[in-house]
Amino acid sequence: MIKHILTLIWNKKRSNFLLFLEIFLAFIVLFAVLTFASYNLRNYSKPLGLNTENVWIAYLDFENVDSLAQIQMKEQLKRELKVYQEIETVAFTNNIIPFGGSNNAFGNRDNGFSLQSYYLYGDEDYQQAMDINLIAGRWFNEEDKQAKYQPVVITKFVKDEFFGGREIIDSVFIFNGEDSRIIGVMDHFRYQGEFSLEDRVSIFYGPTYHEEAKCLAIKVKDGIPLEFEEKVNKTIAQITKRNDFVIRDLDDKRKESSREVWVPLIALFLLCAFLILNIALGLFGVLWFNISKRRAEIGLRRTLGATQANISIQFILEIFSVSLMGILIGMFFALQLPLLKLVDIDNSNYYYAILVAILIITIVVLICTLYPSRQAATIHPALALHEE
Amino acid sequence: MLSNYFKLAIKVLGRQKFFTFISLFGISFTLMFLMLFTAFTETELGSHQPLTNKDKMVFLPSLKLMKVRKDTIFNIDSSMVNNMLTYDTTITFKDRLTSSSQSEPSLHFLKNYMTEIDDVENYSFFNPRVSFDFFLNSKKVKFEGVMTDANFWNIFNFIFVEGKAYSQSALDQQAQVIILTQKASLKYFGMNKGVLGEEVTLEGKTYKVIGVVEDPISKNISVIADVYIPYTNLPSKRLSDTNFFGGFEAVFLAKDKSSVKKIQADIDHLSETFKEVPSYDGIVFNKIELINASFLEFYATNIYNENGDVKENLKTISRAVGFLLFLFIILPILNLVNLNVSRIMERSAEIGVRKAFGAHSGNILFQFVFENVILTLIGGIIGLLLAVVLIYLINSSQVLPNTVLQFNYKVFLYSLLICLGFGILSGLLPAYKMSKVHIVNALKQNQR
Repeated sequence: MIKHILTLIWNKKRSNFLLFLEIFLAFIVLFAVLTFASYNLRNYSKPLGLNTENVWIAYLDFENVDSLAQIQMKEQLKRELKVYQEIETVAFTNNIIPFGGSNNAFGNRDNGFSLQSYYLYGDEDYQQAMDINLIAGRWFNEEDKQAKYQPVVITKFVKDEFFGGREIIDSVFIFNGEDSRIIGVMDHFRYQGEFSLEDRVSIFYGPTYHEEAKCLAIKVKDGIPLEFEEKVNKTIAQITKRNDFVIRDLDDKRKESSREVWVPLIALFLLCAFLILNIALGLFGVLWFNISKRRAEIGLRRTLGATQANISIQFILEIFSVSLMGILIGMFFALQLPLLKLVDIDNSNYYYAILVAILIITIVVLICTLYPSRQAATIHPALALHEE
Repeated sequence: MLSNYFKLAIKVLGRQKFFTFISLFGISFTLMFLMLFTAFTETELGSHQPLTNKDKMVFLPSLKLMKVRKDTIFNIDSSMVNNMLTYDTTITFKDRLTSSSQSEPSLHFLKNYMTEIDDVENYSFFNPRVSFDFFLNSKKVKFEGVMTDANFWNIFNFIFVEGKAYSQSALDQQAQVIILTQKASLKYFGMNKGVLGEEVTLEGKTYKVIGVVEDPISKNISVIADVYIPYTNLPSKRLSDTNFFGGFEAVFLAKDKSSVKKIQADIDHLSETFKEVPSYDGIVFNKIELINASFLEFYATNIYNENGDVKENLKTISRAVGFLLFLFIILPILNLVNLNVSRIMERSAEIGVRKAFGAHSGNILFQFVFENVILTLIGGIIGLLLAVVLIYLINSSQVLPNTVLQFNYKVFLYSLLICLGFGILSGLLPAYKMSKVHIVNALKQNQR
């Protein structure tokens, strides 16, 4: 049976070659798009470890203000803003804002082993403002102001990567050139983007006297009208005595940064859907036409005792064999990516993409062959032979 | 003769409605996408105001300060030669980057080091992406601003609806003047012209409106904004700061297109021979890189920035786009060829008769390619309509923020070319196969 089908395919090698090429290219396109989608969507599905809803960021500037007055200003800001009923909490941080697109990183071997991490600063209210979940230790508090070693909170990822299973709370290591005491471990803090990989992040204590603490993170309560922002704006302007600061909604920033992936992703999916539909219709048309041209052959087989199912299976197998060849060659090329490690992403993404691509192509081919081959099977032998 | 072919083509299309539908569906959607793509690239990368001189521009968006340490790598290979253990030692010296810092240059830096570059006809230093927030009738309004010098207006060709640009003397006098885009004027005053001499208050400073420009079409995050103000209105500390970093960017206008590469090479050369790199935050830097980019490289870097190598970014993006575009075009073409090749025999009777009456293969080839071109043109018209509708939808829904896709004669011309190319490409192989059919065979097939 298989040999018979292979012979049939070989006899029509030219038109089958085109079909094969089409399946092969479709596989490559699907593979590329699905790898991209798999990488991004799997990152997207992981928890962020922070909540951007109802958080406003005010970018302040304290130029030309001496450091003592600066501290007073900052404390006054926190005090007076917290008075508002609408505000849940107010925290200071440095200019590394979640989804803001900027980063600070350090990496060294000061501890005798390689330690790399992104870092930012936050004060004692930053945990509440960003809704950070601690799995060990504690967050910063007022007492840390007198701490001998710089307090730091790290993500679980940093702990797993560099400290393994060791108990590290209250241990002192050199972070970014300074002796730092690890006081807590966060579960996640994926602040670079909803589609980015889990980051190594360390948050240092940055209270009001820290010169980097220049941004305010204001967490407001649910359902606060936009007009309230003007009040906040005026309060800040009054205290800092300047107007050149801006307030941004952190949730908007998150959406904006995510849109950079959503737009191409959706565009690629639409493109793929169209290509697949195009191929499906073409396949359907070609099959339909071929079958109507092979009526004589079908009639003869039916007369010699082939059942309707036999005829259907023959046509389905024919197309499937050609598709399988296209898929196999496509897989050969696709597998080079994980094997040669050309792009630095997790290999499982490639395997998912290959599996889903095979599945989609199989389903499309099945749908396109089912109806024409059924049609072929119902051809009445007497009629078909009569025409001949 | 052509009119005969045309009539024939239309008749054939009507005969097999299902196949015509499949072909037209594929063709029209593919062409729609290609037209959308051309409209998009034309909007993004075409010569629009204010960047009509884009091909002669070199941008300097940022500086990179680096600390590089010479690393000596010993490599000792041991191997057995004639049962004797031998060692082969190689020593390589390699620059190892230990820390780096990248940001926009300061005015001080630009004025000191970037004013004497060969082949530069004109240059402008400006401070882009300055945000202004204010409340109008309890509603928050956001303006993006660029603080510029006077040359800015000579390099970028904004179209003035009214008023004019500020001159160098305005900068020298620290004049508090402002130029608005029509959009900004509409937001602030409720009308998009007739606002000359009115006052705009931003961050407590009052500026007099001296000009209104048409909304820029080109997208370039450094140049496109709502308001333009002389940079002398920045705090004086920002202007005199001797720091290397300071929020400014530069653009250089080359004498002609061919000098762009030379200017870029000059700037690269300057990076390599740079002395006196300062230290920051206690880090002593010893190497500098002046990140410079042509218009296209700058555009590519804004979309995709892997490791800060501007030239590599452009290459990566063009490769990815080219690859996707190739696949996107080749698949529907293959599909069409596949369909046409299968349907060849349907027309064998006609070919047989025509050949019997003396038609050459060339005639047949031409006829079938012509028929296919007619088919693609019909598909093209449908695609064009779809594209126009889609462009309208995209523009009105603001899926792509700040992008107004344009449909002009250029896009139409490109679309026509795409249609023709598509038709000829997808028709050639089937038509060739048809034209080669032998008369006897063709006529014999007609028995059924």
